[in-house]
Amino acid sequence: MSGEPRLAVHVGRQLPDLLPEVLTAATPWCAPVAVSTHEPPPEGVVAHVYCGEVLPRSPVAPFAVWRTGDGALPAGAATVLAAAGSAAPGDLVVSPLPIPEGARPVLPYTRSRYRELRGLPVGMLAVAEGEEVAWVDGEDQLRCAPAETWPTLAALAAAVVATGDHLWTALAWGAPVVTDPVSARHWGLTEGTEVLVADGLAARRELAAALAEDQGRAAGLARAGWVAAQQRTTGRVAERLCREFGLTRRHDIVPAAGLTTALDELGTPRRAFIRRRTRAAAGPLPGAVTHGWIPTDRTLDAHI
Amino acid sequence: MQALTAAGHRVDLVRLPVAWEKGRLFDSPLAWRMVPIDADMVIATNFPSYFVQHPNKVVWLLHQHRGAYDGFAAGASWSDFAVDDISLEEQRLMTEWDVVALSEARRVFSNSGVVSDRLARFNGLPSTPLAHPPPLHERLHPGPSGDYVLSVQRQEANKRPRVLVDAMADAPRGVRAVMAGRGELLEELRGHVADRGLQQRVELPGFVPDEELIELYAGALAVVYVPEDEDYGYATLQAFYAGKPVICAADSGGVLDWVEDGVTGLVTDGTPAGVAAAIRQLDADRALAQRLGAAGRERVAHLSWDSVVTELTAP
Repeated sequence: MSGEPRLAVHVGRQLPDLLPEVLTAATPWCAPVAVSTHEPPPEGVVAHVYCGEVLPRSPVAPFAVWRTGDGALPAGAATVLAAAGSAAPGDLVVSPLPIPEGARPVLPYTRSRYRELRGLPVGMLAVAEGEEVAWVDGEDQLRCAPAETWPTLAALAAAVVATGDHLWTALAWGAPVVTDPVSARHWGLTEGTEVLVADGLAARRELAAALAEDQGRAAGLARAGWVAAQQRTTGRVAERLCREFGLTRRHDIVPAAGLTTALDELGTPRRAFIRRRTRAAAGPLPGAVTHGWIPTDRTLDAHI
Repeated sequence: MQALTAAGHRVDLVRLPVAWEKGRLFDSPLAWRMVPIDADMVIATNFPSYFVQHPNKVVWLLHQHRGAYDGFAAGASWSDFAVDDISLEEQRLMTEWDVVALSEARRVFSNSGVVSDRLARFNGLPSTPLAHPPPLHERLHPGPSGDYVLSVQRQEANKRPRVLVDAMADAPRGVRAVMAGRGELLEELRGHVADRGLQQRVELPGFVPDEELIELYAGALAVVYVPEDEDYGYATLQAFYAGKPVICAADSGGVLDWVEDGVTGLVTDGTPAGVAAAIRQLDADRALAQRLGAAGRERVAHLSWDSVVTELTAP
């Protein structure tokens, strides 16, 4: 095949809100092209994404579907994508919210050390529902906190109760979370594995208190919840889509991309000490700490 | 390596140097990340080897970087971490890297329940304990109970060798202690034995050759092993292969996967008085010592390298 692989995108009357972001994230690997079902697809198309209100009875394989309503999906879809709030079990959920800037997973063992360092209660709970943000102090008293402190509370608490968008922040910080059925369904989270679910604030607080006592269980939940949030970002959804369609652009298979890619895949913050050490060690080797020998839009902006 | 080869696999051992201190913590994992492995399968055993990238990676975890996780909390001299912001950010990032690297594995085993428990608490990852036979297991054999208790370990702080020395002051006069093994505390221990006037009752021979060690196991009344939060502990298993009961502490970690109080040994509170009482009990009731030792031997009868290889290489 000559040129880049192309992903044919079949759009109905309205382009789904999050689809452009997913396609933008996917473009390092492939070039999306808008096509009409009345014309033959352009050269180089290797897969199709259907997102019309009325889906074709006989889509061209391999294909994915962007779920836009309750209608029946054609059989044989490799992947079904859906925006948060519209997903069915098994769909690849796409979050409208990015991972909050600066959020890093702090799993329960490390957060217990941070509480020790900061002199906070051992089993500290944090709550964020609607407009209310609060934490439970050492005397089991609920103390209100400013809304902007939620990321800090979500990073330090032994367990949190969070609903709505607060839940997304808590997951991004690696908190073990108890939520309500609506929020869990909205983000397509698995009860018991990625979050705990209970009806009513009192029941959620009770579950969170028990979770704070069980570091092993809390750690499993926190890790799975954090992974679930990562998987819902547009970048990860795009990667998954491209992987399932076998879409790889030749420019990305360059030997010297390894160091930066390895650091990125491990979740290394941009200002981490190891990036400086890597730069110092590999900097004199041309291309070793960029994204590769061939400059592209992606490589020129790469940080290490 | 031998067991894999015997099972018909072509095996290469890959080793890289490791830096354990805080400032260079991530260098070795990153180096492993870049190691090209063209084999059909990779079995990674330790930090940081599990950072290797391979589509068919199986992890058999013997230990993580304990200095970064909980070594400093226990006051270990080999950890330069502390409860401060820089250490905790390093620990946090180590946790994140471990989660990513270990989650890539097709299967994750550990060598003991303690290591699995740590992996669950630190990283929220499940794993399956997979025990293996200790060195010398094919040559260790039971023998008549003698007049000494045996300790086989490196003489280092986390093994708590002073507990046995101090216990001997209260142990029955007719029982000696033979404490085999070298380590950074050996000379200090010899001084401690002299200070307590126990030279006639506590021997610290340092390194003991295998043949001699096998006979020491065979002739012991019991094996004393009271480490703090041990990962696995070969001494326990070797004692069982020799049909000897093990006296351990309630906080000895992986040792407790094997030592069941009153069934395969005696679990004490880890104090010299507690260990002395256990020695006294076994000295006074030799039939009990033999019964516990025989039960220990039964506990390890199923262990084999063949089954370890079968588990690790299962599709």
